Amino acid sequence: MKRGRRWYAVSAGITVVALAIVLWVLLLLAKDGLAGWHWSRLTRFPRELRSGGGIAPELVNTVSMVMLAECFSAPVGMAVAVWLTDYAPPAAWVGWLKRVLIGFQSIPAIVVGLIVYQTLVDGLGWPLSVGSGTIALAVLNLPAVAVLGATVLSEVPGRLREGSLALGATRIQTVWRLMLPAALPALIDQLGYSWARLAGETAALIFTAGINVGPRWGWFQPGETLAVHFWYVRTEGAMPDWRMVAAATGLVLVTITAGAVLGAKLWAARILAKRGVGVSERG
Amino acid sequence: MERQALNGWIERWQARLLWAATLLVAMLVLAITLVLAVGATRFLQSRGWRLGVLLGANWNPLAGHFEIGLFIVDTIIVTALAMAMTLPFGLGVAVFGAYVASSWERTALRWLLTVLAAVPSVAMGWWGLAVVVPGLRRIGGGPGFSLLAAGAVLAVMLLPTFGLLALEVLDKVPEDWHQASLALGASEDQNLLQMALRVSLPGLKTAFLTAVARAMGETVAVQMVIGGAVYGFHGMLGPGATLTTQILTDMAILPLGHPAHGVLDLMAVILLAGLTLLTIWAQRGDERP
Amino acid sequence: MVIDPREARGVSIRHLLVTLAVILGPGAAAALQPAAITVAGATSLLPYARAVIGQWSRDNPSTRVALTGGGSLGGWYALRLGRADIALSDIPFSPGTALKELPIGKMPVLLVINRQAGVSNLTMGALRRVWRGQVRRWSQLGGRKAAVRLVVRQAGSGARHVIDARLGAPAPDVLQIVQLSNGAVVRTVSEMPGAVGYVEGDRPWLGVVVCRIDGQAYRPGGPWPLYALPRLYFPASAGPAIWSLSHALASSPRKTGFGIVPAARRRFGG
Repeated sequence: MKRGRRWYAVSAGITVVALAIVLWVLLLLAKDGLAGWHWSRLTRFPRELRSGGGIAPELVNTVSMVMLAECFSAPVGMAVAVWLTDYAPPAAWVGWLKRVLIGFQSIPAIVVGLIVYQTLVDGLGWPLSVGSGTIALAVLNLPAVAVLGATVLSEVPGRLREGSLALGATRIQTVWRLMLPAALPALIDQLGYSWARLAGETAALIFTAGINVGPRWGWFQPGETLAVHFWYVRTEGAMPDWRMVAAATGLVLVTITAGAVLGAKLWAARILAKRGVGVSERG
Repeated sequence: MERQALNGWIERWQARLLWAATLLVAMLVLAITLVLAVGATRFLQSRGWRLGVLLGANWNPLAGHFEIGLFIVDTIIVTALAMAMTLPFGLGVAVFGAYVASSWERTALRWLLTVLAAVPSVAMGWWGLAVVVPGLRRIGGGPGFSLLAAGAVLAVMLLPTFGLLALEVLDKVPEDWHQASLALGASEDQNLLQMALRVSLPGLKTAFLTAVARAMGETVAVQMVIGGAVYGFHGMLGPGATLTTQILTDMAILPLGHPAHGVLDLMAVILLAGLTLLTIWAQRGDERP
Repeated sequence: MVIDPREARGVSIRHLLVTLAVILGPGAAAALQPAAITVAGATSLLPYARAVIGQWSRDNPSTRVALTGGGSLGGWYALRLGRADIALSDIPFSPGTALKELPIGKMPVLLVINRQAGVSNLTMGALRRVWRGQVRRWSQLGGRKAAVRLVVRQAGSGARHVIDARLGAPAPDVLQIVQLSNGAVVRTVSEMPGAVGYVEGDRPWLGVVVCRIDGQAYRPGGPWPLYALPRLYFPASAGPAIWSLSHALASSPRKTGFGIVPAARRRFGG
């Protein structure tokens, strides 16, 4: 060992402690969630005052709302990203737009909830529902997709683009046949993260999707998601087995978010591997 | 030749679609800003533009007292506590991941951090209620629900994100520079502190400010452990309320049409203004090595 | 004007599922074509209002009624702004001459205490001293040594209004944890040693001691010092349908089934 590597040793120690603390959260959740776990929780409706309730509608709401929100915000956001990278004139206002979008990428979710509540729920009289919640998620996601998409596209080497254009391809052909395929693995990676982020969203949904579920799924049915149910049951649920229900809900939620992130990463890695690029190169 | 005309037509329309999407998003962002700004302005107008009156700690919406100074102070304190706790851990993880870890350790660490960064904040709040609040109650003797609990929960929530961002930044320092620095006789420690961290400073600043923005904007994890007290400042081990948690608390009792509904818009505007300042600061001089 | 979700669900899943399914679910269509009568207000009264409206609608099939929450204050503002026809409230407002007020009855506000406090009976005088910060440990009231910690509701809550009116607002130096619903108050009180809080409505509250006051446990209709007085408001110029529904809401005998004690006898003229 070389002399003067004290800080490297310190960093290794810190890493162990840091990972231990964060993993503590997950392990505690797994321990409490698996205690008394039964698969029927995934198929039953929640119960308000009795034990043994499930999370089936919350599961359906989470997946459907995130999917619908992505279906709207991912294409529009990517369109903005493509426009910003390939079409935008070198004008000052474009720079400002980029800056504003970067700012809005970190807009507090509760502010999006407030806006959607004011306009849709209070203004237009929409119920607290799957619909209002989906719109809130889409609004939350749009700037993030646009900014991250633009970042990923701008990392495609400029000489590829110039080469394509020089060979007579149109700009849009360059985008479809070259830019997007080249950026595909990174885009899939981002999509997985964005899925996880929306699935775990709580603050934007409490006052837009509501904290209860309807007897069936529908655009205007109450749209409690797993994350909101987790929050609700832990802080005030009146069912006798609230500890188990809360932890089980959290465990399913974390499994979904981790699955989205890992699945996307593995998929991206497979595409890269097929192209003959090592996995480790993009981490 | 017909094909070329078709191509041109597609090209034009696709460009228009892309432009329309951009316009849509720009309008959306503008609309959000306008709705909040109009609400906040009308509220301030109704209070006679006496901004100073709003900065006290007397919050009693039913009695007509709308002083939000306490929430601003608590937001700043909680964010500062969270960043103070997360900074050393995040940097440690980043240094380890970028310079110390072996190849497989580095890959494993990155994947792990990515998964942990995606853990929903409500799970952190759950952990806070299970571990941090009772722990602080036992150690500090207070109610447990406190600014410190909120800061600790946020610190754990931000650690993977900040660690990952910082790791990416440190990774971008060219290998040549390390070689050169070591060849000039620097020890690994000197290389780390005086070369690598120093040249990475702008990037680390951006990573740090991104984490600050998330800490400021987090609602549920904080709401679960902060205690929601709106009367006065009770110290780090006492309860409080931030701008985000108070918006959540009062959204139902100050409905649209209530003369004081605008105070929620004002709180949102203050949050957004803070985030805008952070963004501008983060982008200034962000030239990575 | 929607149900404050935090409180709404604390009521009863059965009522809520039905309420929200029937009222809010197809509410998409209802939102486009305004209902003939809109009732808005206190979430603690929603299950009762839902039951009464259901019966009233069977007798008056030609009039559609929409029910939404929004809380006492939200309902009041909806009425004032013309977005609701009837406002349900836990909190008294001054109706002036343009609005009519009808009492609905009374709902108990119960004191809940953490089990480790070792206290299950308090006098009103002792409670006031707790609220003023003169009692710092439960041992001062014959309980264990645990420190007294207040768990209160946010402003705008009917229960808080009652408590503040009877006990006074807590002294500024008394630590207060604010929770957003009855359920959240009970959960926090059950987990925090020495905590005391209050909830609206007579239900089996789990994990806490429901405190007797002056030696009396709450019995429906019995003497009790802490009652919320739900009431409703409607425009004096309203048409016969709104008058009819208002009086049905104010005087339906079904209220006892929802923990609302009928107010002292009064005649409600048409």
